[in-house]
Amino acid sequence: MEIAVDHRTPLRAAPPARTAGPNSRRRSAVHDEALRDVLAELGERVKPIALARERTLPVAAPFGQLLPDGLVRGQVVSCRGAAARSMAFGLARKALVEGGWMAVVDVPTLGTDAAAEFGVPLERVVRIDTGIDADEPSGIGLDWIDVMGAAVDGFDLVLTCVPAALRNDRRPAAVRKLGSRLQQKGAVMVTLGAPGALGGDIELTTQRTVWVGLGDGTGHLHRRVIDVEASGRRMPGRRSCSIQLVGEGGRVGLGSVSAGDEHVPHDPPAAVLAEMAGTVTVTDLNDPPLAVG
Amino acid sequence: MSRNVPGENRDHPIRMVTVWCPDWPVVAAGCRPDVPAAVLRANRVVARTPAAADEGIVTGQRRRQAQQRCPLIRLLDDDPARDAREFEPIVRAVAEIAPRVDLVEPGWLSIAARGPSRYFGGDAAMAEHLRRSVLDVVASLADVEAGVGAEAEAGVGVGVADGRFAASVAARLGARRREPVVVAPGGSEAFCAPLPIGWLQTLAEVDAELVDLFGRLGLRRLGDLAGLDSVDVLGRFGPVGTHAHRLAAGVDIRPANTTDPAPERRITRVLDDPAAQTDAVVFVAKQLADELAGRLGADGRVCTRLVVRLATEHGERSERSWYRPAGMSAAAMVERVRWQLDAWVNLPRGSEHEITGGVALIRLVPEEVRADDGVQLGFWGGQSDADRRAIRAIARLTTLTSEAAVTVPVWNGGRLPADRYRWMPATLVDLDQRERAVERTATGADGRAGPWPGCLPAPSPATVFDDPLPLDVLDVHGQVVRVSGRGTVTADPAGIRLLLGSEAEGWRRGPMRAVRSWAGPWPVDQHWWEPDRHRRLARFQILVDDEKVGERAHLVIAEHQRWFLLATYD
Repeated sequence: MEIAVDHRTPLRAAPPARTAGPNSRRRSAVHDEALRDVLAELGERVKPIALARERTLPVAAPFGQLLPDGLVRGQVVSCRGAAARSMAFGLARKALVEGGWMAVVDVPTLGTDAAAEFGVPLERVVRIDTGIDADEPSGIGLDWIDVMGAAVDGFDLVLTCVPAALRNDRRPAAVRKLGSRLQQKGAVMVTLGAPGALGGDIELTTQRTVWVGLGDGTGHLHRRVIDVEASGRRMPGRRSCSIQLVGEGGRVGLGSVSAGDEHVPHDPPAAVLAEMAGTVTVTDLNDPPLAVG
Repeated sequence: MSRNVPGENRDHPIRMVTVWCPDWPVVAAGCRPDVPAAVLRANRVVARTPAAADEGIVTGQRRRQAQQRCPLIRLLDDDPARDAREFEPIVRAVAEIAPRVDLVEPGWLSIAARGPSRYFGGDAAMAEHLRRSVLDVVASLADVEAGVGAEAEAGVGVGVADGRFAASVAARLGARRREPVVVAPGGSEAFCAPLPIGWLQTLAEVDAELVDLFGRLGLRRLGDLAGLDSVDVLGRFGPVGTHAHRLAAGVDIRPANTTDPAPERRITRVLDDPAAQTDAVVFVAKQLADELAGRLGADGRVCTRLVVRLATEHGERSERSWYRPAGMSAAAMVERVRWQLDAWVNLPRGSEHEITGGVALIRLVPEEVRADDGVQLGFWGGQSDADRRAIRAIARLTTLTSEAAVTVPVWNGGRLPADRYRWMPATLVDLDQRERAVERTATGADGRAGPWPGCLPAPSPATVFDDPLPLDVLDVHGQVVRVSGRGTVTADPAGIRLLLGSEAEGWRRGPMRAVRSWAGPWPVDQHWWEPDRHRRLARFQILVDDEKVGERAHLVIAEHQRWFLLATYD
């Protein structure tokens, strides 16, 4: 069940400040604090229904700024832009670590290694390929809808690319049915690229990417700063933030960007470079060239 | 009913005879004992022939392990209906000497010992007679199925003891010793005491976790458990522990919370229009089972022994008593009706009680019910609700698409992004113990730096193309950049251009993208000892301009004098 709640007004307003002596103010502050706690607890207990935003999947730190409520079950979140997949992995991580399962429908080019580096527990990731070409505009994608229906039944997160046939604003009955099934079962659908006929609730877009670490024939990709903007019909206004993704020791760390971070020159440690060159074998001068024009 | 035999004391368990056919599924499948064969359920061996056992196949092994031990092994799919069908002749042979046969599962049945024992002049004589008659049936079954006249080597175990548990253990020991095992009256406790605690799990009385816990607490033999105070056991392990304690002590009476269900519990359906199809009967049975399980469930009870009675319009009857220590759900009841019906329908022509007409009456009688203790879900580890839901969804998705379309990742190892994980069909892997399969360290590798020196450091590309896309890497003069055999480039890359289309139709050139910065080449020369898998290539990371998003990073390789786009960092 979902209820429209205005997220901007706090449900419990802070008590008005009183004018009294410092001592009594402190005492009344303590008293207010205790009273507020009791009232809050009471409010939880007598609350008649679960608000939509309480049926959520948790989201890890830097994305928490964008989605303060976490991933609300039954919603469609679309990740777009240059870092769409990295954002999707970052969003999914916490929910999966806490025991959720993710289905990956029709994303055959999924970078498994990248997902593992983001900390996504791969033991709870299942890939389903319906065999239709996602970019082929013909065909209504009924297979895809059937598979998605079965996937939202059993998985907490479903990551998918919407087939080309459904990447428009028309909403066929089958897609509407899929939407209500999603709401009912409480899964979260994450689409890579446009949500199309599914009608995205929240849209995360990478506005800008800056890579650090690559030189002119030197270094290696190491760190990336992405500017992400969140918007959508289930979000009041727009939020945006910069997220830093740092590769370190087989992991990718996510963090917020603080001022001055962006232009630190990257000097890859000698050990990393030596390791990357580890497979250089002594090759014969007469070996054929690896690439010629 | 045996329980109501005059003079029976509730403190003493009923004397039972158990017949146990080891590895029944392979016998039912008609495998000759001298041919290595095994039956698999959920990719694990559940039964194997003696020949396979000699090769080192054990129950619980995975398909691959079994094939590794014995490459010639014949692997068969599990079919409970077949097992039940083939077991019917044995049930009939046993039913000739005892009125009420309790079927636990195909291959395993028990009867009350008192009457037959008197008739044959003692437990030992009766057990020997039973063993011989069952062996005859098994031999004839092998005769029909495989064309061999030899006496079945598989053996049949017969055990006589006080209580169903002790009798079942005796029967299993009897199958190994190839002679009936008779435990003296009152000797069940002494018989059980030196046995390992794992028997509780083997006989499906207690789940594996509790047995494991007993083991870790130092209770390695049934006698150790029996020696504890029953009050302490109840306090520590709850009703399940008490049940285990009672079995270990050889006091296999029905727990105090089982009661005789009221006669109105039995459910009968008379079909005006006799059903000639198995499915139609099973469909009606499902309605009855749902109703029965629902009614029992409303009282917080569960049925442990169910009598299924079927009758045809011509008056032939089939009645079997089914026992399941863990209690039967509606689905379990329906399964048993189906087994019984299958066995009946497949009776050889001309035999007694052969079915000649449609089924006109179905009756389900709960003979023994007990309070439903419920099943405690695992708190730490074990399967969570989400796991079960997902595993069900995987099964559903597999039927919707195909086995090869539903895949899960397994760590493989390698230097190129596409090699590092393999996607295996979900039906071929153990979904319960997935952590180890995806763990990089499980292969003995110490993280990323383990056995794969030369792989690129994190971050890894999030888009990996199955088939690398051909492209041109050009220098400032528009010439294709070359990489020499020693790993040097002829010029700095200045632009890349994807090649679209196919080689046969001729390449169409994509738009040119300017290179902002690049690094490489990092050469890979792997599997040079194996001509088919030998690869020699150089990797580059290239950052290019992108009008929409600013910049985009790609992983590009040069191999066989051509350039390919392997993956994109997105």
